[in-house]
Amino acid sequence: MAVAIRPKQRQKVVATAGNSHIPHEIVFAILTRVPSAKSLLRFCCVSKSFRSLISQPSFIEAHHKGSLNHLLVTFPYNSCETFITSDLEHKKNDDPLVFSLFNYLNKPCFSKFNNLESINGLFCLWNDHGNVAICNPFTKQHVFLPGPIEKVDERIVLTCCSLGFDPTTKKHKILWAQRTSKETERRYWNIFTLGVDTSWREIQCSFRFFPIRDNCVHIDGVIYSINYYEYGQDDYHIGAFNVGEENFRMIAFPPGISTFLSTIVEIKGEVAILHHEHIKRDGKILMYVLNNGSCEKTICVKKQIIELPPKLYNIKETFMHCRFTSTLKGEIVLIPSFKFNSSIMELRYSFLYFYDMEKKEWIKFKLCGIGIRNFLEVRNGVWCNVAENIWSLK
Amino acid sequence: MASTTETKQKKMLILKSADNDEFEIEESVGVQSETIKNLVEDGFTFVPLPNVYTKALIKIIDYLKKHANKTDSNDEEIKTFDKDFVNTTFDDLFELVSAANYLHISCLMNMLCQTIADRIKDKSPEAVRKIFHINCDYTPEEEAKIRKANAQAFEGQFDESLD
Repeated sequence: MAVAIRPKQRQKVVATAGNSHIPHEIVFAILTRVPSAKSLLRFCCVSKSFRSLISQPSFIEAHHKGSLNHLLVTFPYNSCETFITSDLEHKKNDDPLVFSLFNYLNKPCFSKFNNLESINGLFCLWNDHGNVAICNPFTKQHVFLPGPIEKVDERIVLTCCSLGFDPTTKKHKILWAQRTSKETERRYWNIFTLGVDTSWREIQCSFRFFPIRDNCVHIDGVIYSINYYEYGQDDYHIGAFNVGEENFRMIAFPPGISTFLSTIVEIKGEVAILHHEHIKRDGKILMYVLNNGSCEKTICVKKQIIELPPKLYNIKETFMHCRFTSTLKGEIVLIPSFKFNSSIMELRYSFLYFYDMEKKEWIKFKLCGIGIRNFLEVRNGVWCNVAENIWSLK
Repeated sequence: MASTTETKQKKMLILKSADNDEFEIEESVGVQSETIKNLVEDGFTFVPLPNVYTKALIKIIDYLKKHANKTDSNDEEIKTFDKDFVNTTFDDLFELVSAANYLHISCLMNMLCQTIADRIKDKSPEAVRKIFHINCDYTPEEEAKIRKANAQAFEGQFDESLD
């Protein structure tokens, strides 16, 4: 216990000093740490100042950044009844929040969507018929976006949506790429600013590339995606779309790798390509960290070879798919799935592997929390980082 | 002489509270506060704290002393101390958080804000108003409109208690 020395004239201690008027910065610091979106929405009716604070983009951003991150994983194909979720900070998966998340995404109104993208805890759902929806499963808000710009006599056969965030205006935008049939081979790019636009705006792209689905990453207001240049040709590039400026850059692939068996991930704010073409043969993942600066010719700044953990190495021939993502801490996450006729059936879809880049070691993470997926027919499965947030869709 | 070496090793500071009580602490304990650290770097050994009252300052000095002696072995002890430290009324927590904010003690600020946030999470808006000493400035019509817009946030039971 601290003891006062040289006590001078003692005044009555005002126990509630400053209490009737708690400074704004302290209210901000407290409310950004409220762990639930539902609570914050409720606190909007405490007072006008609470509401205006909770509606500020800077508050919403700070709250989202402080929220606990979850990795959502669902598996494609036959076992699409299962989904798996995990709480990354503690590598456990008994959080009821993630179950409510998938229950929300399974709502019948979303049943027509078969593709999904996520950033900032928001989800963009879309299909090839021109339907796009954005939802926030934490605030349980959703909007269906208007139909595409009509193209006379042109049939759109392929679409790809990506969700982006402009860090300057704090607005979310949806980038929608459309491609016509092989005969005409035209590509269209449309953009929609959430809360601002009432219809899609067509934008021009001087490159003839088209994004591959489920292979993009969003870093600091730029959407990086792996694109093919000409249909059916093994010619791949990285497209970088600046969400704020609404323009494209093209970044060459690291030399020597040009196959689609590459996954684009974020490693601590940098773009990285994980190349795993020969994983079934040599058990190796080649990681190229790219310098994603503003220069046109992006160069590979670091190449690293990652070996599979021994237990996986021994069964590498039975891999069906290796999917990759990364965590905010910069760990690589391997989501393996195995051939159906494999004799090691119990291994199918039961584990995730986290690779710690500094320690150069894999951590095996047993999945539980398996639930039923009713409607959400996402073709390639889902793997995304999400955190509780109150981003508005209006 | 042994005592002179000791005084040489342990530089002391005097902190003066808003109600004019003075406290002598070791410099190494005090500099966990960014505000005090900056003053010490400018050569001050007497630190008046016009925004921090004696009651809060006593608790904060206890916290700083405990955390200055952090080692690998007393981790559990510090956790227990922290748990007891925040086990107090909302009014006390607000006073402590204002002091921690003024003194720029980020780990304490974090802990106090997180404690308050966790404790208000399941409260009703009425309870939050009382806890924060806020008068509702909405008309009943305005409040009803906001409740309607966020209807799902009002589903279920909420904690009306003020502790």
